[in-house]
Amino acid sequence: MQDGRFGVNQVAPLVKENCVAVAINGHMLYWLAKTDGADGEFIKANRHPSGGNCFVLTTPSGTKLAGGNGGGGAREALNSGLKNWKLLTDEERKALPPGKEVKPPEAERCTPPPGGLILRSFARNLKKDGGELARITREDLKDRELYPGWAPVYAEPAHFNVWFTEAEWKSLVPAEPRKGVTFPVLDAIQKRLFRYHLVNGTFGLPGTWSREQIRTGTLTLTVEEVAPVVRMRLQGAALLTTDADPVKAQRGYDARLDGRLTYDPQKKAFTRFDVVATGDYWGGDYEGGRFKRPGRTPLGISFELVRDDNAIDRVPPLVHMDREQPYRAYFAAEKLR
Amino acid sequence: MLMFKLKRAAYVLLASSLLIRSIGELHALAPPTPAEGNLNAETFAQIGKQIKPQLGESRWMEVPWFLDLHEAWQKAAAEGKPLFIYSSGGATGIGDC
Repeated sequence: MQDGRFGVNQVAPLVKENCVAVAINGHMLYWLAKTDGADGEFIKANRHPSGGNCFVLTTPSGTKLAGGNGGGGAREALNSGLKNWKLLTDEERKALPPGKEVKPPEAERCTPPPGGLILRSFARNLKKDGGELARITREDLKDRELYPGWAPVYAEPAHFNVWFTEAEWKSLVPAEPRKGVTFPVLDAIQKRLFRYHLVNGTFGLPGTWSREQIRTGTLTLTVEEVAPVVRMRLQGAALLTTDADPVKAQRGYDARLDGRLTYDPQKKAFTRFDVVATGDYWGGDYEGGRFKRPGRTPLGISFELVRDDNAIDRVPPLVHMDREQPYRAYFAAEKLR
Repeated sequence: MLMFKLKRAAYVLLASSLLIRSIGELHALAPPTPAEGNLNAETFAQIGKQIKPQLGESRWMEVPWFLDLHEAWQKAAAEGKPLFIYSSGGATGIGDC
C-alpha cells in the first residue's frame, strides 16, 4: 500500500528521534485485544476509539498519552503525546506492562515461511516523456485533468513484500544449469506475481487479479552463465484485465517483465533477484476507480531481495494474511512441477 | 428545418463518438515504447532506479519500525522512549498486515 499516507512521511524524523515505532495490522489489533494477557490489556487501553487509520502515543507499560486519526492524526498524537510524556517520572517511562506474553494464533500466518525468500517490491505511477519512462513530479500534479484528485504521495512508490516458500524459490535453480537453456518459471510463482504483485497499490490498499483476469501470462528463465555463479535472465509478459476484451476493461495492466537473477551455489542462495515490470495501467484505485488518469498510463513495479534485518522486510504480502482463506489462496498453487 | 438540424447534430455526435472510440482503441492497442520492451543492462538499471524511492521520498522507511509489540515495548522501556503505534484500518500502515 501507499505507506506514506496520513502524514507519516512528514512526522518520520520526529518519530525516529523521539519514539520507538510499532506498526500493527488493524486485524491483528482485534486478535491481540481478544487475548488474555499483557497484549490484550495493552491494546484495549490504547485502541483509538475511532479505529481506522489511527496513531497512538503510549508509555511502554501501556498508559495512553494521546491519539489521532487519519490525515494529521500522526502529528496530533505526537504533539500532545510528547507534551504528556515530559510530565512523567523516569520510573513511569521505563515501566513494562504486567502480565505474560500471549500471541494469538493468527500471528503465525503473518510470519514469513521458514527458509523462504522475501522480495521487496515498489510500485510507482510513471509518465512518458519523449518515449522514455519518467517519474511524475509535483509540478506535473498541477494538471488536475491528467492527475485528478492526486495527492503528492501518489507520485511516490508504494511498498510491498513478496513471499516464496523454500521449495518455490529452489525451483528457480536448475539442478544442472546449462548455458542458453530456457525454462518456464514455476506456475505458482507466475500466478502469485501476476495476481498479487502486478497491482497498483500507489493510492492505498491494492486489489488482486482473479485467475480468470490473467488473460495472457508467461515467465521464463534463461541461463546466461553457469560458473562461478549461475546468472539467469527472467523475461515475460502478462495482460491483466477485468474484461476479456481489453478495450472494454475498466481496469487493466499490460505488463512486460525483465529480470536479472544470480544464484551462488557456494552460499546456496540467490544473491541478486532484480526484476522490473513496466507497462500501461488503467483503472485508478480499488475503491471506485478514484484518481484515474485519462487513457492508459505507465506503471512500474520493481522487485529485489530484502537486504536488511528490518521489520519492514517481514511485513506480510496481504492485508488479510491473518485469515486462513487469503493465506491459503496466496500459497494455493504451491505444488511443484 | 428544426428536425433537419437535430438529425444533423445527431449524425455529427455519432461520427465523433465513433472516431473517439477508434482513437481510444488504437491507443489501447498501441505497441509498447522501446523503454518497456526488451531492456538492456543500462535501461534495466535506469528504470529500476526510477521506480524506487528517491531522496526525500518514502520517509516512513527511515523509521526503524517494529511489528512485534513485545520487542517494541522492551526497546521503549530500555531507551526511556514512548511508543508510537501506527495502525491502519486493515493494514499496518507500513505494509499490508
